[in-house]
Amino acid sequence: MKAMIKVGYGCNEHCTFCHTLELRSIDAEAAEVSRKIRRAKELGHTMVVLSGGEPTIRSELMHWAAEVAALKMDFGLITNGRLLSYPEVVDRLQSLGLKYVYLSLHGGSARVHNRLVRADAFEQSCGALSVLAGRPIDVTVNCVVTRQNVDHLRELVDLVMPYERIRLKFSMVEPKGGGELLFRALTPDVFDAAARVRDAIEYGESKYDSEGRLVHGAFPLCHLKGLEDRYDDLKTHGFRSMVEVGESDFFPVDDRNKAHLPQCEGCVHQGGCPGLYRGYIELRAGGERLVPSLERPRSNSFNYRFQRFAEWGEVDCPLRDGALGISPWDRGRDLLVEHRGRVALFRADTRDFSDAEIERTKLQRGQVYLDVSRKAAVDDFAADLRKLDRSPRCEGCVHQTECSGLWVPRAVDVFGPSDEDVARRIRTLRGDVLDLGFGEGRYAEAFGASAAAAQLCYTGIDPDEDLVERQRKAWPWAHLVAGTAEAWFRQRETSSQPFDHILILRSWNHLQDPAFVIAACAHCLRDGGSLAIVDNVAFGLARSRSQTDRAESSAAGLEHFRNDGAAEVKALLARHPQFELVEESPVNLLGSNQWMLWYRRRGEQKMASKLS
Amino acid sequence: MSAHASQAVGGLPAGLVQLQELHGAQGIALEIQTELFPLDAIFGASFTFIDRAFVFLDRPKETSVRVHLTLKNAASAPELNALRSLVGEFANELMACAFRLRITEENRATLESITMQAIAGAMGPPTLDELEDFDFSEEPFEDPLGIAMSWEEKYAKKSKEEPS
Amino acid sequence: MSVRIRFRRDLYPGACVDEALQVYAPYVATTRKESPDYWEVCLFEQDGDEDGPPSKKERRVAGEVSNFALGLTIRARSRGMSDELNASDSEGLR
Repeated sequence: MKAMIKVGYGCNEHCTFCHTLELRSIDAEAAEVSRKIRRAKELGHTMVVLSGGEPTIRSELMHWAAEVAALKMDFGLITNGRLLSYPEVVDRLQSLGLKYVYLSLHGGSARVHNRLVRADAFEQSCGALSVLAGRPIDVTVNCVVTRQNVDHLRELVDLVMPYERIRLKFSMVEPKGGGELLFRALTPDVFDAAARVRDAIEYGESKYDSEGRLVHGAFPLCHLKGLEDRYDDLKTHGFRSMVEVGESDFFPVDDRNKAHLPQCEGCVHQGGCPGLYRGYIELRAGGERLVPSLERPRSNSFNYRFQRFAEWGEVDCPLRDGALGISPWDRGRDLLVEHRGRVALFRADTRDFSDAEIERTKLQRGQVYLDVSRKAAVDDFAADLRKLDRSPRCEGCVHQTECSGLWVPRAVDVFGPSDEDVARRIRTLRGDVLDLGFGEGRYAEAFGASAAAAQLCYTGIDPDEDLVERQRKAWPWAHLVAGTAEAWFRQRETSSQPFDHILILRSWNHLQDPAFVIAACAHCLRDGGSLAIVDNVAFGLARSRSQTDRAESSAAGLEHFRNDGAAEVKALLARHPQFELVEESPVNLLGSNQWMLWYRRRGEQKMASKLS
Repeated sequence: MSAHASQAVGGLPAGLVQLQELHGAQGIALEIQTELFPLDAIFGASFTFIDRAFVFLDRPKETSVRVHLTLKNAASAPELNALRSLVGEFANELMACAFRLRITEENRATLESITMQAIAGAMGPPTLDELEDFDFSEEPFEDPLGIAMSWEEKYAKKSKEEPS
Repeated sequence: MSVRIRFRRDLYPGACVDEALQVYAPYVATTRKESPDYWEVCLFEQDGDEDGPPSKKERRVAGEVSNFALGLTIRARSRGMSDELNASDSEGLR
């Protein structure tokens, strides 16, 4: 778990795309950095990485490395590497725990690199690679891709790949600082640049034993298909938090300088994809070239893995008043739970969900649970899970909107009531019923009773053929069909009898083409008939380390194509004026993750004659 | 009670700069039109003076902000020249802040850095305890090639040595 | 002997003024009230009264309180919290 400390913005290079161009005269006091090193330890980090500007031009470098070592943390540098061309400097730093170097090199020749960094630096940075190679230090060479070097990436591959174990990363230039001022001159089209990066990676793979050492950052994954697992950023490097010069405490590493466009909605890669730099979106359009992957299923839950306990201290709130602080914690990905006078720290590092999705799940929908089951896969929500609520201590706190919050488990079953609400409505159904995705048949008893009384004629569709076969034996009163809802509607004759009720119960997010299904429902529902849609939004589970590891290594199949809530479905149904919303029960902070929408088809109700 | 007796300062526009007593101490006040200088620039400039002056903001009119500056370590009647140079420096800093804001198109990150830098200054120098902890004995590294020299230092020096 | 400081409400969030006063509470006594445009604070030495010219200590603390409130204000602004703090101003100084 790495902490990044910016020691100042002064540098011995003057890169054209420098992020901190306006701040180069600002350097932190030595004591400020020392204070932050101690704070990094207090927050539980295991490595301190100094960055800048250029941290190696500071005369206090060895002192800080010694301080880090004295606190039993590892040491790292984000650097242009020039100083590391002195073997004796690397020897000393290594003796003080140097384990990580992220080194900037933007071209495979002096001509390209020096032009970008505006200094005679190439030989020294390359020299550093020779000095670092073969040592037990995790080294990544970072190349910022600009218009000036985009045609020379193979050259860099040939320079770096012969060094065993050194990783080479291609990063899209960010429109920030110099990158913003010189945007037109520096910034290539991101999609064209992605193609050049793909070429360089494939070239390196074919020529060298690269072992996955060629990686990329800040390019949309839909333009690097097949290389999605080569995505690399601060989080994949284990950075948890960082602090700029002058800031009084750490802040979480996040991706707020990047954004996904509306066309990315529903893309299965959204959680792991950087999207585009916000500055790029503002300064250059081109989002229409994004190609979302909508066809693959995705997860509907993620795990908060237990990290450690923190002491509460003699304070009212350990975040606002105590040692934990407010700013270091990611509002979505960190989960701090009150537990017997201590704070249990959990962390979600999943890339199946984006930061925004996790934040919405936790803070807006309140769908985080403590898993008390010890099972790898939860199968009885009411018994296995305890809902986590924001602590009463947070009420009225002025920091509520910036704080990750304290959470407390609630010993009440939140799933039962919402389930009973659906069951109660199911029991009242009469007439022809179409159930799309009936699954294990949670309401089979109610359907069976009504069918036995000749009040209901039940047709069920489910894609699981084994399940359909099994249920046919168990439910002799039902007409069951194996297949997807979409396929069933496509082969259904338009002259077929319409239905009185169509149910999509916990299968909405399993539909491949919900827009088509709704349009088809509109055609085969009688006037006055009802359409019920019930499903669950994604949720987070706070779990023990071993439980999380077991769950994440299991090969459970994914079945959800999206994690829609009621709002998304209502937006889709709004395109069909024949449906009138009768009742809705959206997800709320106090309830379960289940939502329900009950629609009525406009027109006078005419029930099927044989049953009415 | 705080008095607001004021008088013009010779050589400076009377409508903008006045000697003024505030909270019982003699200081100098500068009136700034907010349509010319954004509030963030005024706050940013104010902060850089907190270590040596008491800074107080008021709003005499909807369209202006008055910045009162009182020297921290001055005698009860500070020298006019000291106050005059204080307000002059403030005006320069205000221009610089406004310029930085403008050239970065009010880039939020930069604004934060400017203000946080100012805050860091405002929070004062490291405490004695921290200085006691500081190990000055740790030798820096040998740098025969002069690598650990800032770009500005190196190239400014070079251009002085090799005039074109 | 006292010093009266009138913080413009549209420049200084009430919470920042409040916090500054709390920090310097060990050194002086304070009274606080609010008017539509100002947070009005009166500082005076514990054993003094509210009338008469301010003492050197009162002047010094008044300056420090002003600086501290300004520091907190700019920190709140830089973190985008000033709106929230302003919203809390409706409750006045707490």
